[in-house]
Amino acid sequence: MPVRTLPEPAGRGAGPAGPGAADAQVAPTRPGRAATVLFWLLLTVAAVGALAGSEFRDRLGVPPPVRAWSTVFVSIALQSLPFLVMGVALSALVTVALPVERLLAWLPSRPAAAVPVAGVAGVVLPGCECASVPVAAGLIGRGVPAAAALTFLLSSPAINPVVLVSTAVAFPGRPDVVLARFLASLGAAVVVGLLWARFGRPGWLTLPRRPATSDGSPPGFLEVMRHDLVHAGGFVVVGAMLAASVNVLVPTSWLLAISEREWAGVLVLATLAVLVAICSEADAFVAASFTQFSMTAKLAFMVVGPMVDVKLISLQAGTFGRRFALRFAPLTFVAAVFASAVVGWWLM
Amino acid sequence: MSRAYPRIVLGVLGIAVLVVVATGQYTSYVRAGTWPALVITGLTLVVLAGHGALREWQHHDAVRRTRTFGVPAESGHSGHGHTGPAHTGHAHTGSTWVLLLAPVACLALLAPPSLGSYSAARAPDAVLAAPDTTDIGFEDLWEPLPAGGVVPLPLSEFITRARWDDSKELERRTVRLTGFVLPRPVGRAGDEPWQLARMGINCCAADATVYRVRMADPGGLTVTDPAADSWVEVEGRWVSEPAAATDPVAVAEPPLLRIERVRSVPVPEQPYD
Repeated sequence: MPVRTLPEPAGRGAGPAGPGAADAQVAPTRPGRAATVLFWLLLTVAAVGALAGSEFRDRLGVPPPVRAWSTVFVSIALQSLPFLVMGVALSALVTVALPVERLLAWLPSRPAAAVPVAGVAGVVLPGCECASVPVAAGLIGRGVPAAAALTFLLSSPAINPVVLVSTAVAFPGRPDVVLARFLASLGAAVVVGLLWARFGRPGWLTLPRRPATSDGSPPGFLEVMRHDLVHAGGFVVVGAMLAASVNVLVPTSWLLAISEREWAGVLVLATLAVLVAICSEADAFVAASFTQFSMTAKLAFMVVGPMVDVKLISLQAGTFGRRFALRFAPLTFVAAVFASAVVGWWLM
Repeated sequence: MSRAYPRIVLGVLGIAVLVVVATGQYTSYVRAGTWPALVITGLTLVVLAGHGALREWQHHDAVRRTRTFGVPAESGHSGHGHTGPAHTGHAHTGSTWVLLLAPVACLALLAPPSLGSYSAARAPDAVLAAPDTTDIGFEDLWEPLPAGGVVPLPLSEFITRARWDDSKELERRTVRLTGFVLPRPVGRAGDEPWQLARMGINCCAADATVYRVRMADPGGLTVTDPAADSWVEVEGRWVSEPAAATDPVAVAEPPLLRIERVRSVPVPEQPYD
């Protein structure tokens, strides 16, 4: 069984070695000491909390900001989980069952043509950004060119029917907002894909390794799913913690005070989209509530959010490696802001 | 044992998801309509954990038999016992998966309540756009309020009608609103002691916006202001004020309600509007 050396994402206490040398070389699967301690600590807290009941909770006297933080944290985690599971299931399906040869034959071989096709194909995945990362990883694992798969990763959470319909509901009587969101998102995704095809290096992207079986048989659907979920789940939790902290610590009214200048408003809402990590199916409603800002700034919020946010960066770092996320996230941010500005000033 | 940790984490998380759906607690975090997706998610997690445990057990059983009967296994047997299908997957992930227990611990220890006055004071006001009345009158879009005595209304509908209904039907009817107490904003006059608030969510509590109604209490019904975050049912009548803005989506001052009765109620099953 070949072992590829991979950089440890986020540097969390990864177990360096099992008891035996052979063990360590073949399957360094054991959690490190810090992780083991954390595992038992969290499990104990959960058990104590579940047994103690509400009176104990009342006596804890949790201050309101901490309570608000815990509500938002649990909400984001609970809301992303079904999408993550769906994405992981689709990814496993891609890995185990999709006739990729046929898919590749259908995809143009030149990147300049394959990237826009992959971008438009994003329409078919009705989910949010948590689902798109594992699916893209599955596609790359099966030999789809990285630039095309990454374009799909960026476009699908932004231009699928569910998101477009919720955008139309959030901005009643403004079909131009829906069109602008579609065009700016697709444009940004294609630009990033083309840049990656032209300048990207294979070494930047660490391919997600598939679970291998000892007897060489291909891994089953459930094995791939479990592998991907264990792999990605923790990073979604990290993102949810960051987003909940921003939600509680930074009142929106602070940001709204900076809305006077047009270009500043665009940058403020684009940055806010990165920090608050709101699901792409709901972000249009939040964008609509920023009434002091220009339409272009609101558009930037809706274009940047599904492509770059703390939860997504964390998930990408976990899936494709930190070297990837460090390059991909800033590139995508710039492309998304630029696309929003151009489409916003053109259409609205 | 430690190789079983990721499976335990998935299983515990799955059970926690199923429990918050079964107890109804999930409505404090996400939209009530998402329960089927959550049930499927919880069951999937439990199945994945169980399947992993089963494969591990089968694998160890096979290894044990091989050893017992002295049948030589394939080369590299010494390491073989630790490379079974159930646990090779997470070799390179670090141990971030442990954090999947964090929401479970948070749920069990704090049982985070639905967002209250702390968040209401910071969240943006929900935008209630004007109904499109260019071709048809407002009356065609809104059903007239039901006949009878006191009319129960969601805060969102009360605010929309107060803002946009030109027939001013609300002035002639007593309504019943349910929400939590948001203490008086700084600088507000003494005859508006507190506000009734309710949060609205579109996906989860991270995208919450707030609906607010100002309470006018000339009769001194609430001698001492009700405690912040306590849930109350208020009966009263809308007080018409001169419209401030004409922009169809601008957020205006919350509408004013002259209260006639206040009584405290338990937290509703669906805490968000």
